[in-house]
Amino acid sequence: MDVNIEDLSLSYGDFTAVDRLSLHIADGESLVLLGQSGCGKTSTMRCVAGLEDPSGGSISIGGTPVFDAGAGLNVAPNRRKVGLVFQSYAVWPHMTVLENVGFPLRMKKLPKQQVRTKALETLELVGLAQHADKGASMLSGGQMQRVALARSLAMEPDVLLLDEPLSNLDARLREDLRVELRRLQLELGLTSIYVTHDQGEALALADRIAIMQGGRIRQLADPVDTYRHPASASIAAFLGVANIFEVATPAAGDRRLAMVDHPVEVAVDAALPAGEHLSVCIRPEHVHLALDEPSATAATVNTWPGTVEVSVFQGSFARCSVRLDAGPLIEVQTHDDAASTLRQKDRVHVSIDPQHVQVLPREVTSATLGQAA
Amino acid sequence: MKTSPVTTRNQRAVLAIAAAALVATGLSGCGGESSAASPTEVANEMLALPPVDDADGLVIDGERVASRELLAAAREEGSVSWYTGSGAESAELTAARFEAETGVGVDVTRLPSGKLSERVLSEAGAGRLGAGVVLVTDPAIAEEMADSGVFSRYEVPGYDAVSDMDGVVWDDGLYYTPYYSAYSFAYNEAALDELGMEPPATWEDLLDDTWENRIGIVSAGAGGTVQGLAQFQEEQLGDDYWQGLEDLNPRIFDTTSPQLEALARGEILVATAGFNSTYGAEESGSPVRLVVPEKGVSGTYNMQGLTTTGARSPAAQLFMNWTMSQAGQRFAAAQGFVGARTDVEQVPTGDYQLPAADDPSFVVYTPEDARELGTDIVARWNKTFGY
Amino acid sequence: MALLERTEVAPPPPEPAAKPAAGVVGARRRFLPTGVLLALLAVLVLLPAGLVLLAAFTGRVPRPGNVSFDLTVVNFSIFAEPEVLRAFVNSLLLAVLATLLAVCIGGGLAFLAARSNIPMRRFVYLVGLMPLFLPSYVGALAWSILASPFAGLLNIAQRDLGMSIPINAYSMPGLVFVFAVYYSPYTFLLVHGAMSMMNPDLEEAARVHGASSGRMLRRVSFPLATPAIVGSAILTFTLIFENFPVAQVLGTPGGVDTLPTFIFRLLNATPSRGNESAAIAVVLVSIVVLVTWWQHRVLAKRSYTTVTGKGVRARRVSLGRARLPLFALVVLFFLLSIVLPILALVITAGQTSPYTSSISDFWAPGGLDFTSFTDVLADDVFRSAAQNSIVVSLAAAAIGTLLAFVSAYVTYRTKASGRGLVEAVSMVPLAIPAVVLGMGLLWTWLVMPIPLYGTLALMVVAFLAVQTPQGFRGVASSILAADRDLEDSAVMHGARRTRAIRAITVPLMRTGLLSTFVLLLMLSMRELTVPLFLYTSDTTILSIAIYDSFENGGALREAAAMSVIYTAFMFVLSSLPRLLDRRRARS
Repeated sequence: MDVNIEDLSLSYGDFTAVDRLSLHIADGESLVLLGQSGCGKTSTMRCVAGLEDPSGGSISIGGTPVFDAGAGLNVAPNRRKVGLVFQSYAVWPHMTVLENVGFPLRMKKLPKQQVRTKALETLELVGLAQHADKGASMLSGGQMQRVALARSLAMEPDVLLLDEPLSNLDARLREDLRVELRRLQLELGLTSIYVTHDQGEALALADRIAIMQGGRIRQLADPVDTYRHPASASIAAFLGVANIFEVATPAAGDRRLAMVDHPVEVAVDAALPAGEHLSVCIRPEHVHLALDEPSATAATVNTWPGTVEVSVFQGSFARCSVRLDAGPLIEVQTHDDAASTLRQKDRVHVSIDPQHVQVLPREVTSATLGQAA
Repeated sequence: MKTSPVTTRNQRAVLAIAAAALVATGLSGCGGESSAASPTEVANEMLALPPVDDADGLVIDGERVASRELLAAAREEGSVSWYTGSGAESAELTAARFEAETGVGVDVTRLPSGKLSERVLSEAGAGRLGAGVVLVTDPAIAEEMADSGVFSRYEVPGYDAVSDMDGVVWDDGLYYTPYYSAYSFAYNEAALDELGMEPPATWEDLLDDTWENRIGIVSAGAGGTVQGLAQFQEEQLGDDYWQGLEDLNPRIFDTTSPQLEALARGEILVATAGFNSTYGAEESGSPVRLVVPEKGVSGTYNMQGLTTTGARSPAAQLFMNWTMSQAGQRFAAAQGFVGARTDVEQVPTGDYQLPAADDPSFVVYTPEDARELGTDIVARWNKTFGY
Repeated sequence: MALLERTEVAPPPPEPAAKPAAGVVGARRRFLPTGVLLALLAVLVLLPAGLVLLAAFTGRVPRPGNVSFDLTVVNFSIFAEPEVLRAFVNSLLLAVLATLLAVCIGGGLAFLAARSNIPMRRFVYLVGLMPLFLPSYVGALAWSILASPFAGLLNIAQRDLGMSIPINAYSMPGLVFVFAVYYSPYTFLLVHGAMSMMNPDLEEAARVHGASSGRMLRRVSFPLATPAIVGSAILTFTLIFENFPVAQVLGTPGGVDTLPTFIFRLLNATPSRGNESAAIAVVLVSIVVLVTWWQHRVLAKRSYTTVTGKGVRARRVSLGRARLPLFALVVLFFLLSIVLPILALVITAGQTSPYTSSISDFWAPGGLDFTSFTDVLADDVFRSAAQNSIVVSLAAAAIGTLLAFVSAYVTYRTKASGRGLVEAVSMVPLAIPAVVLGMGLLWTWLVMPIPLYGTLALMVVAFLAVQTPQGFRGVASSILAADRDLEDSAVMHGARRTRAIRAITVPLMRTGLLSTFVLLLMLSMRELTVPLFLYTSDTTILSIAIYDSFENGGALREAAAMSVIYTAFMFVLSSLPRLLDRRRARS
């Protein structure tokens, strides 16, 4: 069922956690709320769950209002048919796995036998049926997370909320579960809201990603679009764009932008956005490294000499930081085998194709927000 | 919550706690044979039970204590609620004796007079006075209670006769003086024997240097009895008597019981002491002996009245009657009090013979004295003894 | 104190604390729980305190239909009396000296038990803990038997042996000693906790960076335990400063008055001087409040605590040649704190004559006769007192735990308005000495139009009031430790809030709730001062029965027998949680 949030606000004392936020999540859609801690993503989700007392706005699920500040309506969480998988799993340690998963079914007052059958079915779905009678506190982190998920699935929620469900797991497990979560979500056609600060998770799981900053949504787009066209320099930075340099406000039609902090000019291809406080943003994988002097024939656009400061070999690629002679430090990620042999203090040339240089405003303003969404 | 291990452990813990509680109650439940005599037996040893005839009303030792109707109603009621400021032992014995003679029980609430007054005044103020009869050891407290409407006028049998006696009937029967407390001094016989010391026989002996650091007295601020004693010492024994005591660096006690305990243990060798409580201790095996000195014994009033609640309680009225009867008077005397009725002989207290109420050697601290001199006495006493 | 008991028992079913209204957001949800709680706590705690304050500033003691509001400061002129000033100085001096000694004893034993290679460490631990099982006034009673200047058993023994070292419990040094011994476990427990949970990395870092073992202790270990030491010192100070029974038993016969004994004496004088005692009480409270406030500040800065709670094994320090002498000292302390006092009580209970000329009297035929124990056990007064004690303590502990749970839940788990106030009011009794609270409770329940005075229910109410802080702290720490997601999760999965609390939160907090329950039970069994103001002959409890037979009844033998039985019971009660805990650890 779809979720409609309008003008939602939540504040604790003077602090505004959610600021007049509006968002519509379609039936069966997987929406990811992405942002740094304190951006309001978890608060927004908890408002949908009914665990907070928002100060304004309204929320409806499947067309039924569950919260409306104007009407003084706030349906209790246990009546919203919303599932929530907690970051801490919140698996009850004093119950068995089966008791945990059967809990929502018992709350629905299903007959005992049915509770057991359905709970086992759901455990099967997450691959934990063989642990059904184990005490929940005996499980590993990954298993607990599956129990938490199964428990929420067992209640057949209208909407499933997931609060950084994978953040407490180690990297390998995280990637496995990520795929599994997506599979389940698509298979069951669940409307879900997924909260995370991990861009990889967001890209993998989302139909749409809502990037939040300061209690508001700053960018709402599908994963590919989000990745390729961040709406601002700070969003770009959050999405892993390591090379961001502020540039002087260009004159109309300028194709070369001067960095504010360094005597470097960068050539760009794309059209420039309006406004002041622009930055050039370059992903590390878009930076080319050359060990030799660039030949005269090659384009000398955006090519600068520099010295390697650190180089880290990571198997399929290598990552290094290069201090340009002109001052700026450039992060480079290269698959070039030759680069893997780079040492500290090696001299290199760095070049960047102008079409990979994005020019973005420092922050999303309300003017640019409309554009991005 | 299913049969999770939690539940069973909880049950175990509950059981354990319950078991501990049971151990305690069980302990008290299987007390076994008691070697101590019952209060009734102790009372009978002090003074043999008089002949009681309840065929037509209550006649004890030939004196009519209650009419047939009153006795029947009192027995029907079952027990009287008696609030008393007297010592625990005396309260217990008196209650036991009353029950033995009348067949009516006593619910004793025993508190020090100050606390008792607090309680009675509060209960009365709230209109929920529980006591049928109240006995206090301080006339001032009785007056305050009377002023607050605690008491109800009542005429005991033979009212006309007792109302002619000195200081027995107050405010036309609003309350009575059933008996006086007597105060003199006592010593630890065993300790003196061991040390080869002569026991004191007169009030002057008490000021002897030998008692330095080893004499106990009770603070005059502690209550009417000790106030009376202080007054007695000044009036009968001389203005410098207090200073004589102070020079011995006496140990000063807040209340009489710990002093009696200290005397019994030999922590102190001599002490000014109340007759009733010290005699009780002696009876129960303490090596203490009392002295009835020539120059006299200090006495203070006990006051007892029927309360407004008691006015509706036949048992309470019976208790009033009995207290003022010959039987009640004799039993009080046997316990170490001085009976207020001068027409009843003062029976001996064990092997001590206290003076009768109208004997010149019995010096009573009157309510007027207390009113007029009390504050001054306590203030000067505190000053003399640096208390 | 709460560190003592760890076990579980089915906690009382909690009342719904914050019921999220099924439909409506509203004032009801924000104000109702706190409003009800605050009203309850106000009656329990604030009203008694208020009446004492009122009495201090008026000319009459509050009584039904007799509550005066004519304010005056004349009662405070009692401070012009030299006796009151002397009592004031005595109280301060006594509390400071005894606290210093108690902290040294407790801290030293804690170090030995937690961090040294002393022989029989578990025994050393018990030695540190055990004085707690002996209610301080029982200890005082025992020491008055042992060391009264002439008839004290120790002094009689000295005479037998021809020695004459002056030993006198009825003196300032005697009081300091007895207070220090019986209040040392507070420091012991807190410091032991801090020391045994100290992260060894911090100490090893000191060793690695060149400190000797001794320097490490001086420069790192003890400073790291500072919060525990300061915290316990201040706690000990306030407890001793406001203690009544010990000062009454030992101080009064020696002419050493303290403020609490002075208050009690004024209140019991005829005529009662309630207003002046209230004035002294107000001063007493002010000082305790000051000290507690300071404690709050000191403890609030506890950010440098290193307690990880991860069960790390701290390293042991070798004592070298001092190992056996130190152990001998521990044994000596054990003798003085437990063995001798209990022995003295047992002997006193068995004495056929209260007078003892020589210790050899006890060996003489018929010298000792322990029928007093059976007499006491058969005695109606003792039986009903024991029964009352158990009934009152169980009720007070159960209701107290429930109240604490609701208060802590509202404070930490809801957004109800005024929840901070709930915590603040819950903590108030901490700053009110028992003598004062007892007085206030007496007046409150005499004035209140609810007929509780003279019933056991009043005792329960009084204990609830006195122990609100301990209950609140006990439950709060475990409610804070329980992840609130667990409860929210149940609500998300279709349980009503009340159901979620019952099915999830309470079972998860069972250990904490049970610890609190047992703690309150022990405190109720021990409490003497407050019931002393409230008891009537129908509502006598054990602690009162002992005190009363000693102070008012002149029955030392019975008092001693009761004390021994009572101490044995306390010992069983307090070791119960540890026994259960051990069993749990095994299962």
